[in-house]
Amino acid sequence: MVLRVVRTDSGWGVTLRVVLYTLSIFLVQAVWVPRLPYPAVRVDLLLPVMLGVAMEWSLVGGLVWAVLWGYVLDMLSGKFWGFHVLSYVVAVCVVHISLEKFEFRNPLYQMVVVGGCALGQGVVLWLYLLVEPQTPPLDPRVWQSLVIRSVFMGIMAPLLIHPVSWWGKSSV
Amino acid sequence: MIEWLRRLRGAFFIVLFLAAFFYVSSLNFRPPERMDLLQRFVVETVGPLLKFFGGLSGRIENAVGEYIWLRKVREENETLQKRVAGLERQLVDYQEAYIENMRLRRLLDFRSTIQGEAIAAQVVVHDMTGWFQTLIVDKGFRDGISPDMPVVNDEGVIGRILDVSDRYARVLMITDPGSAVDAIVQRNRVRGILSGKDSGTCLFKYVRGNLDVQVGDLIITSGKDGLFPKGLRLGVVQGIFKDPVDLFQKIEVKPLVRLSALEELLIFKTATVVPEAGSGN
Repeated sequence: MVLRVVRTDSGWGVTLRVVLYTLSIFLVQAVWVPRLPYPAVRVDLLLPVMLGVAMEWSLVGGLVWAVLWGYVLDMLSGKFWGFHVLSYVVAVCVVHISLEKFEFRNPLYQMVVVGGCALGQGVVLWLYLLVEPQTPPLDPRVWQSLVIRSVFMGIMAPLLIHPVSWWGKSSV
Repeated sequence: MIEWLRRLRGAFFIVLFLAAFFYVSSLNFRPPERMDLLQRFVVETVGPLLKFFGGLSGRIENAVGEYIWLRKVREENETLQKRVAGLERQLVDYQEAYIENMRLRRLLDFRSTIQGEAIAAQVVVHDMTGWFQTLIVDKGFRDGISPDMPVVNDEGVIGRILDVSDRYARVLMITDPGSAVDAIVQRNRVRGILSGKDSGTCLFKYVRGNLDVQVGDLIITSGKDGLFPKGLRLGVVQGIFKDPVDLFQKIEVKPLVRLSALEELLIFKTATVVPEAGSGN
């Protein structure tokens, strides 16, 4: 005899789980990632989460989530205000614009999109550091770090997006 | 009215997001001052959370770190203990080799001072009964050993060969009551017979009561018994007991050789040994 358990979650339950998941990823990002020894491995864990949220939620919900957490991260950074907000908003918009054309549930696409967004983050950051007068002359190896960081984020993307997709559904 | 609002909802959100983005971007150009309300709200909300999580994370890291450290320490401790045990064994071996080397060197030096052939031998076993002052050495008939050959080391006389097998020989030590060595006091040539009393003492017998023997006198072989060469050290007088009614005085002698700790010795193949005149000193 096979027992089949069906659980139907309310919208609030799903939202609560996504909130808790995002919060836990944020805490990991805030506490552990800055302590990593190499800049190349200091990844932005919330970017894939934002992509996952954008896949499951509406555009407005995703944008609100992106602005909210982007602002919190900008707040904690204290410099280059809008960097995280912009990158998360762009990521959410990219997902929503191309959602009909690409199968974002495919981990390969997720890796490519997150890697691309991370690379975009890297380019913006590099441009900012170029124009920022207080920054010392940039080490040419900074590009190396940014590319490696993008690759890392791409590899990690399916792992971070999958829980959002799984909790975002209303049945088990 | 509601329909109108629904139509404008998209535009409303766009304006709202643009406003939010402009607000965030404007913070880049704001001179440093006290945080605004929203910033303060975020910091005051997130701060305690991060502090708590940071502390929790620190405790977990410490616990994990200590556990890993303890495991490493345990493994390291076991490895080091094994290594220490190995090194201690090695050290004991080295010390043994060093001490043996010193003994053999002394024996070799002593051997170079004597004339005639001498064979080095190792003590195999001391008398296990404890009743007799004998020992077995690893040289025997095949090595040219025969009974009554003197046995010595660099410290002095040990005894003589009692009996011999093919590859082993038994030595009767000077402390055995059955042993007798013709001896003299080095200082004034007073003559007597040295025989054993117990494992650590000999008796210098047949010395008349009126002869001058003092505690500390060195007793050496006289060379007149036909066994031991003249001038080999036997022992030191450690006690004199005179009885007016006795013809001889009772003289106790402590052997110079530490007989209980013997390991290597020399066996004189011939008795034609003439030690240097001052070897007794």
